[in-house]
Amino acid sequence: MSATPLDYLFSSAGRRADVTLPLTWFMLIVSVVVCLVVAGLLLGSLRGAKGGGAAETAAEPVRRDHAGGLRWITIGLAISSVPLLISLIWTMAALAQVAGPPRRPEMTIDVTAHQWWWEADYHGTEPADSFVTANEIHIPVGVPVEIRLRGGDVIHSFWVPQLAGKTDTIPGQQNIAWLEARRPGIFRGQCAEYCGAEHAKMGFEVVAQPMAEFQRWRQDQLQPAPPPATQAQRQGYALTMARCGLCHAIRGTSATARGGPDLTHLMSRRLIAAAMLPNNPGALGGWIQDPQGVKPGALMPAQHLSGEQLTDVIAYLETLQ
Amino acid sequence: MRRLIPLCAALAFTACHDGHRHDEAKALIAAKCGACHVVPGVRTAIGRVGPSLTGFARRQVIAGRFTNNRQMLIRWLLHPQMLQPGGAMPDTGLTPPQAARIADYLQTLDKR
Repeated sequence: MSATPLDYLFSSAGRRADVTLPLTWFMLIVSVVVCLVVAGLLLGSLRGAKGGGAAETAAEPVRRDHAGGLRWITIGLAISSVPLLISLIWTMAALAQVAGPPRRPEMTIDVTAHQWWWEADYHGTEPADSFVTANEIHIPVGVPVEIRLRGGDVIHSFWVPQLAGKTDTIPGQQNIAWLEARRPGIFRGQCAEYCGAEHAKMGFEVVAQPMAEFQRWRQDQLQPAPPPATQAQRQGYALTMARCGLCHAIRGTSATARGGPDLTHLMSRRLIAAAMLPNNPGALGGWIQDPQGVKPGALMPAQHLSGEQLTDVIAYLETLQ
Repeated sequence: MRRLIPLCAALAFTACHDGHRHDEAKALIAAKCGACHVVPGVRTAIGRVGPSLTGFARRQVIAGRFTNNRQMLIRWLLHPQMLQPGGAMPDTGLTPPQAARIADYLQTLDKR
C-alpha cells in the first residue's frame, strides 16, 4: 500500500534517503533545541529585568559593568560551534554519499516531466527492446538506477522522498538523478517545484520489485496491445482511435501520438491521472468523460461521450492489460 | 493557551467519534464514485459527469426509473449496466457488503 502523508519522515527505503533521513532528524532536533534554549534565555532575562525594581525607573539610566559579559559570549560561541561543526561534517559526508551511485548504474530510465504527468522511457539494447510508460516507474531492488531527467515544458522537480531527494527537471537541460531501493515496495513520488495549476496533483509511483519480477514486468510492457475481441470492445476501439489516439499512443494500433501518457498497458497501472485517482472502471470513466471536473486545467479535454460510447471505451481500455 | 489544549482535544475527539461509522463507505466513494459524482462529506468526490448526490436520501427514483430504497440502491450499485444497459455508469466491481456500506452512507444524505 502507498504511504500515509509525511510517512517518509519515519521510513526510508533507498540508499540516498537512508543517508539523508537521520541528518534531517538531527538538524530538526538541533534547531528545535536551539529555539527553545534561546526562547528560555530571553524569557529569563525579561523576568530578571522586571525584578530590577524602582532603581531602573529613575530618569538617569543606571550603568552597570558586567565583568562576565565577554565570558558569556565565548561560552555561547563554543557551545554553538559544536552542533554547527557536527552538522557541517555530517552534511559533507552525506553529500558525498548521495552525489553518485556506489557503482556504475546498470540501467537508465529517461524521465520527462510534463504539465502534469511523468513520462518514462525504458531503453533496451535495440529499439524492439524499448518502451514508454507513464506515471508508474518500475525499478529493480538493490541495483542503482540512473534517472535522466528532462523538462518537457516548464521546470518541475522529481522527488521520491523515501528513496532520494529532489532533482529539478529543466527544459533544454538534462539532469541526472539515481535511485537505489533497499526493499521492494511502492513509493510515492511528487513534483516538488511549482509548475502550474495542477502541480499538487502531479504525482507518480516508483514500484521497486525483485529483479525477476521486474524483468517479467518489462517483458509484459514490451507487448503490443491485443486486438479488440467483442462487439463492445470493437466499438470502443474505434472511438479510442478517433478520440484518444490524437494525443495518446497505444502500441500495436494506429494511435501513436506522444502528447499524453502511453496507454498500451494502462490497466497494469495502479493509479491514473498522474497518481491522482485509483485505476478502476468508476474513476476511469469519470476521468475520460470529464477530466476538467476533477483536475481543472489538465490538458485533457472533456469527451462528451454518450453512456453507450463511454461503456464501450471502458470495455476496450480494460483489454490494455 | 492552557484553555485551548482541552478545547482542541475535545474537538478532535468529537470529530473522530462522529466520522468513524462511515469511514469505509467514504473511502470507497472516494476511490470509485468521486470522479463522476459530488458526494457531500467526501472531500475528493467532486466529479460532474453524473448527478450530484447531495440530498440523495430525499430522492424518489434512482437513474430515473427505480424506486429509491436501500435494497434497490444496493442492486443498482452492484449492477448499473444490467439495470440500465448502455448507461454511462459502469459496473465498478463492488462486493455486496461494500455496496451495502455505500448505500447506508448515501441514505444519510438528507440535507438539500
